[in-house]
Amino acid sequence: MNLCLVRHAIAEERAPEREDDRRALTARGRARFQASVRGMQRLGLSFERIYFSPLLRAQETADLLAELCSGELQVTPHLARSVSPALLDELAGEDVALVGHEPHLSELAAWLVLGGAPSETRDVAPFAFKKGGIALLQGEARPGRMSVRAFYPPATLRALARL
Amino acid sequence: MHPCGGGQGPSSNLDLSDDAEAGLEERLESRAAGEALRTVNDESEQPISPAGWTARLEREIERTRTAAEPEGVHQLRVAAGRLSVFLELSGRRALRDDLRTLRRHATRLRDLDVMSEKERWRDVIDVPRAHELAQLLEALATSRIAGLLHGLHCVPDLAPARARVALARFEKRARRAAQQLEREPADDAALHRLRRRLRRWRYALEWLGSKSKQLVTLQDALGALQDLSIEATRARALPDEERRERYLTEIAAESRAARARFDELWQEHGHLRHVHTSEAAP
Repeated sequence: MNLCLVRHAIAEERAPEREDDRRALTARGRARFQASVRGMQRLGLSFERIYFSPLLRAQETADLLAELCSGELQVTPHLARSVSPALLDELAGEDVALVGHEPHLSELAAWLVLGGAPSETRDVAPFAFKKGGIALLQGEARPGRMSVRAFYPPATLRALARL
Repeated sequence: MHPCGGGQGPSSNLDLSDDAEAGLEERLESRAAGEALRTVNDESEQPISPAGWTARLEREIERTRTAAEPEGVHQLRVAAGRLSVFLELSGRRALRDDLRTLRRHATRLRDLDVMSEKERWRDVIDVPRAHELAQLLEALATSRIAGLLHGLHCVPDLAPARARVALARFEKRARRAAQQLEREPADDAALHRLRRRLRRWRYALEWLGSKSKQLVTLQDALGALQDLSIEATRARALPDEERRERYLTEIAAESRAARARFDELWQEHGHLRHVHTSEAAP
């Protein structure tokens, strides 16, 4: 499986009057991620299915990513929680994108690459996803069975789009 | 309380480490975007909220889980269809595939419930209904449905001005389907397409507080034809040859009558050229 882990794009800031789950992408976040999607296109990325967290900022990021997807967009609550085997059990397809949040995406990447229990890899996670950043993993979607193909910060994806 | 139902939910600790990108510049841009939007939208108009239909969908899912009543299954489908149209009016793709999958499961059961109202199917419907109900209940128990409901609670209200812009697309698609049917009046696929597009146009209008009795009438007539088409598919699979032929003959006659009724309404409404809408009663 080719797995593309995507952290949601830049969203509205936290505020006491705004529910965290309902924070939308900002205009700037949208524009930047749209450029990132063009960069991903340059890399030849395409997806059979996009899984996304139910939180609004992840929904909106998945919407922008949808132009690279030939199949369904599927919501999963497991992307808004600490990593668990239940998330991996849901995945189907050969080229798949997951849109989620930190710190869960870092944990997921470390777990898939290093194996062990999620709690063991949580603190040694060598990945730090910036908003709109992606990691490309390859292998069997099981703990310790994937390898990292690439790790792109958003600025690199946008630079690719400009080439 | 639902994570999005108010206050800070279980996911509120996510993304604590905001990037430097999300600084003053972003706040200024966000404010500018908000101001630009306010100039487009008439602030006197109330935003359109999906909360009522989201709550309705939750209730009908629960009703189906506990009682499996035909009416609950029907209302579940309706709520899923209306919310899908709301998302499209909002320019959102996310969650629509999830709603479609849910609706597809419910539709298979609903089709059998409609058939079971006819005497000729009563002795053979229980087994397939039990099978489809089990499939639906299995789907309702998945984390996808939990994610869908969570996600729907996160969807923001919609500005009527934006919805009105999107509404034109629903009408255009319905009129294009009407033209296709005029070109190929015997094409079942064209009828099916028209039925779906009329339904979505009607729902879109209703989100904006408008109604069209003509759309409802046409949709009902097309629905009757669709029900008979499903019956014909079932009849063709009957193992008893005599019963199969008898049913197919009956259904063919009923389909001709239903088609004549639709054609009559279609003429009456000028092939969709004379559809009028009105403000819905409060």
